[in-house]
This record gives sequence, structure tokens and C-alpha cells, in this order.
Amino acid sequence: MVEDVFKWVSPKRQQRIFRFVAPTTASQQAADPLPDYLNLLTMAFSMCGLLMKIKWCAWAAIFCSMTSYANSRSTEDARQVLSSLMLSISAVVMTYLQNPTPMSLPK
Amino acid sequence: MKLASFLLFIFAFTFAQDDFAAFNGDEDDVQASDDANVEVIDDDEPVDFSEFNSGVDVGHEMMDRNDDELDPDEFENIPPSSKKSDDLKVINVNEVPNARPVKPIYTIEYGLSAVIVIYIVNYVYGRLTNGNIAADWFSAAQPFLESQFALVGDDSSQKETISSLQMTRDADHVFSIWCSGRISVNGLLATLRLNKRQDAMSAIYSTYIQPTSDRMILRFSMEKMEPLCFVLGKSSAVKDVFENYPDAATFCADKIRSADKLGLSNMSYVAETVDSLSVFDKKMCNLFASAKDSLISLHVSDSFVGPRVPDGEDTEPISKVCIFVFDMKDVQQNATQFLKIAVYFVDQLAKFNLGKEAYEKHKRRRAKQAEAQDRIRHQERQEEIARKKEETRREEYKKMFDEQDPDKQKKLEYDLNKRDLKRQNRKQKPRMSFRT
Repeated sequence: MVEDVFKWVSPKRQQRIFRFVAPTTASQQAADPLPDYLNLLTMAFSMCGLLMKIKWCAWAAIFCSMTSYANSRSTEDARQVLSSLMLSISAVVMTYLQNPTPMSLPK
Repeated sequence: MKLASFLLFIFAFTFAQDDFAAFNGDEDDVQASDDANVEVIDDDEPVDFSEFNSGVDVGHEMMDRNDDELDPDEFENIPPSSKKSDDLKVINVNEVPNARPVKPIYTIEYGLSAVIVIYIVNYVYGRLTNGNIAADWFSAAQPFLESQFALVGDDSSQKETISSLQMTRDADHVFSIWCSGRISVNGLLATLRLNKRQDAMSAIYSTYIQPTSDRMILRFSMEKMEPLCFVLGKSSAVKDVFENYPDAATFCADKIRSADKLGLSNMSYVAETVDSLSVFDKKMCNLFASAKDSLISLHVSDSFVGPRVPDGEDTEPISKVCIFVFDMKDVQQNATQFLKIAVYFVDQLAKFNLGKEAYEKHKRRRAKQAEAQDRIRHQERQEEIARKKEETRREEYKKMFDEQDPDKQKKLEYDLNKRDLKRQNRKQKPRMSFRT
């Protein structure tokens, strides 16, 4: 009988509430470093596209920035991801402004 | 070319003067008769240059007025042009193919833009799908969670501790919820780590190259538990935990053993002691057998510090945890049955006692491990000090050799030798014992 009563005792305790403490950035990065690597690749491709006027680099920068955005954590600064996306788009635009001819496949 | 022609001209002029030397002084002999009609031929017509005030185009005949510059004899080994003006064909513009400028066709650019559009569409669809899975899970788990915890969902922006009753979107494929206010546990962090459906590349990778499935991770922060450390689950998962978590690597034995004796034939475990597996009674074994296809790993530790981090980074503070990882093949089953199994296990774990003998054994083992680690750390410190001393010595010797002034160099050498002698004497000096 006592056991039956005990079974029906609610385990909830209002006085034992602890607030949530978010995990550190280091542990999050260790869990999934892909967005950071892709961000770095985006910067590298954008610079190559802008400075050396290589079209395929500029397009690759756009793809890397989109993939980085898709894999990013919500806690990250959205400005950084958005700025890398803008940089990649500007790389494509500047490359075509300087050389409007279409891209060709390597022979 | 002009220099050559100039030099040739000078050369010709010089010889021309010699040619005409015979006629020097004969000018007086040559006299024109009075009745001779001398016709003056003036080839050079006066040119009206006013029309060139605005400039002369390149190719104008005025630019090449002096044809003497281009002497055909100067051009050696160049065959004369065999083409005559009669051989030149007249080209008709209409007959030449592609004579007019063609509009550029951006084929590759259109293709890449289409890929971008497809990626964006996949992103929206994947994000929605993951959100729906998380919503389904929470709607199935909410009644049980509300019955067990006083706080379900903690909105950290709010100061008051009110249940938010909604999951937090950590990423487009990661959803979590914090529950607290229960006996035996300080809190439960339930995380749904789904496949990255919003990223086309990751979706293709997880479907065709390395298939992965959605996972439910239940991390219980224990209020109190016996000093235990073990990992139970699929072999690959146990190995992964053993390698990536310092507490399992430190306290658990190196060998991964089969969990046959627990009735879990396709599972393995690593444990600090065999006594720690006594928490699995018959009822528990039956419950785990019903979930063994979905259970990936169970990690119980009283000294959990989180995953391994790079050197220089801080680890998490030490805590007592019990972490379940389930494969989310069936969302409803995960949200109900497996969640209940996990909460039941945690209650049993909180009540579990190692026993006096097992506890003493465990204490001795931990003390030995701590001593061994202290010894290793001490040795490393000593090596570091010795290395620094050696570097300082090398620098001093280098300074001595580089010193230009011989007096200063001698003084430095004397100081170094004195220090070395003192060190040697200190090592050789016997220790005095004061026994009476």
C-alpha cells in the first residue's frame, strides 16, 4: 500500500529548479567545426576571385558561403555569415564587370 | 633603320666627295654660254600646310614624303612580295561566315545559377522538415516531461523561471530543451541532433556516402550518484566515447568487452570496475533489451568534463552525468518509451550503492590513478625546468662567445666556470646526518 502511494508521488520539485547554462563556444566548435572551415574557404575564394579576376573562384565562394550559412549555429553572429555572403556576391559581380565574357570549360 | 640609313648616307656622301674630287677646282672651266637657255625646273611645289593645323593622320602621304628612307636594298633575306595587286581577292562581307558580332551565351553561369536556386529550395524544405520532426517529438514528449519536471523549457532571456514549453533551435538541424525541478537530477538537457537536410551536400553525404540517422541525446545532470564510470553501447560508439572523452579514457579500462552477460548481445562496454555494472538488475536488462536496436551509447560518469578540447582551452567543470544517445528511427517511440526508460534508469542510478568493499576498492584505485597522474605531471614539470635551465645556459655561453671585449669575455667565462663548479660541488657533497 505504501509502495503504491509512493508510486503516485510526483517527482517534481519546484525548489530544485536550476537555470540552463549554455555550453561553451569551444565545445560547440569541437563538435562541429565545418561552418568555420567553410567561412575561411569563402574568404579565400573571394579574395582570389577579386584580386586575380578568376571567375570560378568567385562562384566557388558563393557556394561555400551558402553552405556555411546552412551549417551555421544560431548562436553565431549572423553579421559574420552575412558579410561573407555579401563578399562572395561582390566578388562575382566585380569579376564580370571587369571581364563580361562568359566562362568556358577548360580545354 | 633610320640610323642605318643615316650612316649609309654619311658613308655615301664621304665617298661621293671623293668621286667628285676630280671636279674640284674645275668649276671655272665649266661655263654656260650666254645664249644658253637655262630652264629652271622646280620640282618642289610649295605646300599649303594650313590644312594640317588640326594635325596629320597617321598614314598620310605627308608622313612618308621622303621615300629615300626605305631603300629596298637595305632589306636583305626578305623575299620580295610575290603578290600583285591583281592577285588580291575582293572579300564580300555577306559571304564571310560569322562576320557580325555574336551575343555571348552564359551557359555555365545559367547552370550555376540553377544549382544555387535548387540549393535554396532544398534549404527551405530541409529546414521545414527538421522543424516538423522536432515539433512532433516535443508534442509526443511534452505530457511526460511536464509530469516529471517542474520546469520544461527555459527561456534564458526571461528572469523568472517559467516553463517556456518550446524547444530551442540551436541550428537548423539541432533542437534542444532544458528541463529541471525534479528529485535525483539537477536537470535534463534533451537534444535532437537531426540530419542536415537543409544542406544539400550534407544530405547527399549522409544518404549515400556515410549513412547517418537522426539522434536523440538525453543528458541528465545528477544530483548525487556513486563514483562510477562506464560506457555501454554499440562497439563503434563506445570506442568513439572512449577516445573523445577524457574521463572515460582516464578511469575506464582499456579493453572493450562484450555485454552478453547483461542480455545485450550486440553491445559492448568499458567500465572502471565490473561492480559498476551491478546497477543493471533483471528488470533493467529487460528494458534495455527492448531498446537495444535504438540505443547507441550510455555514458555514466561522476567526473565528467566534456569532450576533449584543444590545448589551452578550458574544459567543462567536473559534474556527475548520465548521457543516453538513441537512434531516432521512430519519433513517437523515442519521445515516449525511450524517454521513460532513461528516466527510470536515472532513478535507479541515484538509489544505487556500490557496497562497502567495492567502494574501498574503488577509492584505492582512484588514489593510485591520481598518484600516477601526479607523478607524470611532476616529471613533465621537471623536464620543463631542465629544458629552461639548459636554454639559459646556452644563451649565457653564446653571450660570452659573442662578447667583443676580451676583459669582459674573461669575466663572463670566470663567472660561468665558478657557477658550474659550485653546482658540481653541491651534487658531490655528502648529506650530513645528525644521529646521536
